[in-house]
Amino acid sequence: MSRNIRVDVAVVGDGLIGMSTALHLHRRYLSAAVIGGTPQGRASTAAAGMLTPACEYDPWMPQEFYELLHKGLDYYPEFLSAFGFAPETVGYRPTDFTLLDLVERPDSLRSRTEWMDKYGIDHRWLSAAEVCEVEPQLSPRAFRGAIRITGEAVVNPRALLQAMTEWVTEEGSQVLGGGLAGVGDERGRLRLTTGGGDTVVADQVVIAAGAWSDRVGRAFGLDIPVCPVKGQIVRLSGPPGLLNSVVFMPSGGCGSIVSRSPGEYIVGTSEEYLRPEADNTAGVVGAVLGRLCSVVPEAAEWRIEEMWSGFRPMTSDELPVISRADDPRIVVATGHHRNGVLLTPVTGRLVAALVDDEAPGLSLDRFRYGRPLRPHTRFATKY
Amino acid sequence: MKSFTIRAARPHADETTALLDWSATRLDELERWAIRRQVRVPRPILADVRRRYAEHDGGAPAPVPPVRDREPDPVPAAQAPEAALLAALERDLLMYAASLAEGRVDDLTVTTMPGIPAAFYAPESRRLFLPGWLVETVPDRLFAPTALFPEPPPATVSWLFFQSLVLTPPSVPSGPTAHVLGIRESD
Repeated sequence: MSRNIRVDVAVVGDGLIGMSTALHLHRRYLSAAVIGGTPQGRASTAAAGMLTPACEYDPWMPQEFYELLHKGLDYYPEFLSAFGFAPETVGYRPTDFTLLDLVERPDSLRSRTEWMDKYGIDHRWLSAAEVCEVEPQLSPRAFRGAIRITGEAVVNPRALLQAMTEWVTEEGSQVLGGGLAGVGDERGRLRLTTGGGDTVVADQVVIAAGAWSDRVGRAFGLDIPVCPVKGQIVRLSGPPGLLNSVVFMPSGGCGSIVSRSPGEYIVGTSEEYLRPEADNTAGVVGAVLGRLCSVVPEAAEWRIEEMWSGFRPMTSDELPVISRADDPRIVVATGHHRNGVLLTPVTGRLVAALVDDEAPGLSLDRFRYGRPLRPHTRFATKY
Repeated sequence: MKSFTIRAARPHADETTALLDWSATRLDELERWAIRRQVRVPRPILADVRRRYAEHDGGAPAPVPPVRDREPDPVPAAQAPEAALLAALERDLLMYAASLAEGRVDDLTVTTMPGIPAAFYAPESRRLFLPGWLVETVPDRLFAPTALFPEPPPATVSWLFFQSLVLTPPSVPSGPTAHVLGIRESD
């Protein structure tokens, strides 16, 4: 039976950003309904869950973006506590990162320490011998050294999404499936119909539909130029306790080895701009596993448990859009690219503030809707 | 940089052979170039390059292509058969002003040739060689529609330059132009 729902805010997107938005709206006593689409290929459940501004930021990006990433990391513990999520249930834990200076890269990573110094990132350069001391399972044949970064974290995005979805549902918000099927006006409010035949009438709408935000935006007459960037991930099982940090491998699609739970290793990834199929391919999986086995030779014996892929939403300047749109009834929260998990809590908080006409407490000018963006380019697949 | 100019040029008679020979000595680069860009090189052209590779046992010294620093044989861009694409390339590359300035590139001479397997760039003469079969099918979207993404975003054609293979002498590694010249493709 179809439902007619009247709320303050309709959130289009039931991934991490959408759910975090719904949580924060609830804290402001704003009623919300969440409209979800297909779970296939969503970034929220595909990501490894690294919370690492130091590894993901590049100095060519604006400083405001680093500040946003850093706020995202800082806010995590407060966010989990505020909504009653026990860190262990969502796989959150502080950890060091080992950013490997891989021999397969012609240029050394060491110069990155300069901007890390500038931004006050707690790090130190390790020679290959020092890397072997702190990570004895890694083979120095694969790297020249590493930057060891302290004070960052990981989370299990699947567990986090499940916890947030349960929270939102238990607190009385409707989570509707079927995707967005239509949009109309109803006496100044927005009327949204879902593929399941439900109708939501809302004063405001938040578009947080990840890689599908451009399509959702068009339904509202908006131009939200994000493209899907595919990443492939492999989950393996092996002996527990082999790694003392998250190993970040900045080559190809910038891969990582994350120990999600004892004996469970999440390994990725690719950046694919031209293949919008939610599948796994021989070239990418082969390259990812080849790199894994060159860095951790013992991984050749690990068992492949599962593999999947997901699509990150990317703008052409690789910065998110967190902003009111031309239509003041609509707030856009998308384009988080490689940092959706890291920015989940802080984006929810910022968006809820925007919806509530409150200053977000952070300059969002760099992330505004409608900023000049070039059309996308056909980047080569990286892996 | 306030302008970016594209000129058209006819190929010289021996340039197709030179580019095929160069490709045969960089077969790994060529195969990676095509796969990672979802470019379907016509089978006869790819077979020709692989045959040349096999005949030279993959180890023959790469001849320096005569195309690297040869003066182009100009033709008015508007009269070139690929005039529309050249106009689009000029328009799109102008959007990458900062990147191109880093690479000290403010003009290009484009030559379209039917029998070559990839896009090639000669930095010395700032000549870009484009395969005819690719020019005829350059997509204006990022990818073909799928069930998951039925409305692909529009895309620039700038990659034809940024991701062309740089024609380097045998001792110098090749790779995509943006990478070799240190140009950031997403400035």
